[in-house]
Amino acid sequence: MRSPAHRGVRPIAATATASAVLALAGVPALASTASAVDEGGKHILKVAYSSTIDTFNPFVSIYLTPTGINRMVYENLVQYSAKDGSPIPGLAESWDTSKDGKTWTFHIRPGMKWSDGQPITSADPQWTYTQMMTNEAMSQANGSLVTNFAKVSAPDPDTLVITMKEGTAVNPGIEIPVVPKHVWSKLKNPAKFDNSKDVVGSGPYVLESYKPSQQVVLKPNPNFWRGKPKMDGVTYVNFKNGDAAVQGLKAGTIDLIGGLEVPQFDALKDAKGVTVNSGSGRRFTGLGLNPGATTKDGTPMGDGNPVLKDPVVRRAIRQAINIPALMDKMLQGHGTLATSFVPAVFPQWHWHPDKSKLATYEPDAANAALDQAGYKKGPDGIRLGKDGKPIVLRLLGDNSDSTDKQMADYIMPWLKKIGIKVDLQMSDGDAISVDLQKANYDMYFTGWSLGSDPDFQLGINTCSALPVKPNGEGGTSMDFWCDKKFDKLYEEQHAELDQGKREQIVQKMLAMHYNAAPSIDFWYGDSLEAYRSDHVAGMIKMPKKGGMLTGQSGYWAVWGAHPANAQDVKKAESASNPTGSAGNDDGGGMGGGAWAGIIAAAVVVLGGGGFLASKKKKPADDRE
Amino acid sequence: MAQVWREFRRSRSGVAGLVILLVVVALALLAPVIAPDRLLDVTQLLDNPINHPPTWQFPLGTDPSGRSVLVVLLWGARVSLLVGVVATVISMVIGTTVGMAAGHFGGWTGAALMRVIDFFLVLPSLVLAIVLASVLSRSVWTVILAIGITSWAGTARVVRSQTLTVDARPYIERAWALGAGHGHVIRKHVLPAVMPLVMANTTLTVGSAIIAEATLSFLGLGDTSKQSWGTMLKLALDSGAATGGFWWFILPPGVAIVIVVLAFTLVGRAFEAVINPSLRER
Repeated sequence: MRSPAHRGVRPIAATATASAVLALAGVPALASTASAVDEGGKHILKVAYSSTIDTFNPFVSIYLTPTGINRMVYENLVQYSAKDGSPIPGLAESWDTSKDGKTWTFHIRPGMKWSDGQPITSADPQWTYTQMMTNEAMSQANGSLVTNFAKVSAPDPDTLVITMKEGTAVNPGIEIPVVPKHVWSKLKNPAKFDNSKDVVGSGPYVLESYKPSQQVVLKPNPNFWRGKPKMDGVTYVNFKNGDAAVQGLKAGTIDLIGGLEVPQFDALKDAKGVTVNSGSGRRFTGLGLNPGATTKDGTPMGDGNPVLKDPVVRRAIRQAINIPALMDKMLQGHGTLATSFVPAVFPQWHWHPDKSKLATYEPDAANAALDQAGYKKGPDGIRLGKDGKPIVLRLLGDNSDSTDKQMADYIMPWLKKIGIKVDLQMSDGDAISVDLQKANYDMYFTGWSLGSDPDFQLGINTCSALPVKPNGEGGTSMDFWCDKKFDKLYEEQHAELDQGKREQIVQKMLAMHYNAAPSIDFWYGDSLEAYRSDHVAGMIKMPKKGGMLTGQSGYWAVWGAHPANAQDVKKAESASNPTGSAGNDDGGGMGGGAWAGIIAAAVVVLGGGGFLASKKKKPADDRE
Repeated sequence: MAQVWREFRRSRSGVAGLVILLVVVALALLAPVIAPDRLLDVTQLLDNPINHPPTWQFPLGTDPSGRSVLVVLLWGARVSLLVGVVATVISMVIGTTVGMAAGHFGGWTGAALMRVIDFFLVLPSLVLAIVLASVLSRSVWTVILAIGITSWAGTARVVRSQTLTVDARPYIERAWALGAGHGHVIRKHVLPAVMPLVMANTTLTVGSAIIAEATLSFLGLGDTSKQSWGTMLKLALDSGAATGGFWWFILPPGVAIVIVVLAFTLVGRAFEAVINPSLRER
């Protein structure tokens, strides 16, 4: 329909300019074989995107693409490490925590500048956080991250002190983009600012221009504290269709593409100049159930089927679905079976119970459980609810996502076997979002991307995340599930400063969630992606071992990217294997000094919180 | 009737089209017998390879869920033909009624009806169908309604002009003189006279209705819980079949649409030639 808009940029042989750029960047200046060079002799990294862009205003934006781009534009106070997502210095070069975890003091690295040359001081994060704490419109996207903030002060330009209401082990400096006070404080209505042109930032690249449904252009920030990035720019090119983007990659007009389907991934394995990567994803996929939604004060809301209030039914649904077989069909080996909503890429938080505690595909056991709970089968084999009506559950699916329909094709007959009829309702993502907010659903396909600390995701499973009003306003709850015992554990882990003990509490919480089954978590899908290894090299995976390049919760892949030289191409070719490890993720992209700095910094890190980079209720994959 | 058949038989392409149609309709009706619906239940096909090229077991290969493409194609014919035919019937009923009324009554009523027809004629029918399909709830009937409501205007114009010529004939004047009312004239004289034209138009419209169904389903606006040729193409697009080179999943629904639409067109043209001798080969 709408034609994919991409620039007519052709890769041509490396030029003298290209070599000069390489030399300047401190990379061995070997002659490139072919490079992402445009007419002006510039090396532009071209990334395909297909998902929604709501706005580039970091206080409002919730979609995956714009929040991902803002990770390039704004350096956080504390960054996630590429290695495992643990907190490492960002704008703050170090930090101290008081014993009770209530006072966090951050030491801002002196001498840093915004992309327009103005100095970065503690006044910038102070202004940013205070806005989110005091102005409701500014807290739309990340407000939940500052609810525990009591006061933020900047005693001197290099020091920022955050006083928490409750002691916490989670570093409060992560995830929130820090904006330049000298730009944003002059705006009349900062929450309405679309922030899409000549943006002043502190990250490796800053946003230069944006054409809706066409492209987003980023240019390098020479003042980035880790040093000027090595590409001459990054352009996000919009594609409405995955196959078209794949053709773009094959033709060399696109350098990096994520979110591939398995057939596309397999077809690209053998393409010349292309390296594929199946990175462990930080996203879970599952089936969300409506466990009887209520508001905070207990007023029932939505029109969920009352039968799902019974955990016996929810657990029976889990037993009726052959999850390993479904994953085999849907992902063909590119995924890991889920135990809970915390993906296995975060081994310290991921729930790893004894196998005997996990349900398996047992429709007979599910039938027996339902019989025992008093759900008798009607004449047509469909069970009757306590109100005597046949159990028909609506399943909401997103039409723009082919996997929803395919999964529904399996789930419907499986649930029929245990006497539950499914009414599949396919519509579009926006319509589903509205229904989810109002709890007008029985089942839907859910999925969230998690950050390296599960605090946020656990938080949205507590009672305090339930909506204030019956229309869903004021709520961020994952599945409208609420259990006071879970809340108590949440408070405990939040305040627990000992990493080992905190991990144990989180394990207990995930076990509780599993038994209550407000959502049935299927798997953690790998991120299937491909890039032109003859154009670009040095992109850093996150996590560094077996991680992904697109959809990271940091700027590592794009920051590390540099034009490929002959050596990179050779390396990529020799390493071009099914797992797609290109062999250039071993630090070749960054100067040795930079890495030493990062590692040293990581060692300095106190306390154990990484944090989340979680995100909003799905329906579609494009929400971060 | 016998004479119509004799004339029709003389058109070799028309007969060929008719034979193809009869075969396709028979296959679609017999789909539950030839390929029981358990062959569509993906939970019973867990051992089938997915996206597999044609073999003896799967003459047209398998789709991304491991179903035999041939089985899906057979079942898809049911929805595609159902939508094509029923939507056309709706379109013909509206088109004939409005066309006859516009031609017969003339004057102010006729002019008003003509403007309504013109309105639907200039409106891009695909856009209107997309709007209807997305506003109404998702089901096969929504698609049928969306296509039926947007495709009648052309028929109405043709029927109106035929009504005008019939109305001007001397025997109609005689009927008026003998005291016939509007109802009598329309039912006994105008309708039989426009009917052959409507029939020919019907067979031609079915083809475009089938394409419209495929288009709407391909755009994700159809009933995705039912197999149709359009939903097959949508699944092929969404699952990366083009990049993967799975021609056995992309070609069959496309070729099936072409064959059936061609058959309807051949029959329609032959029928048109029967009722309008000036179209016959000289």
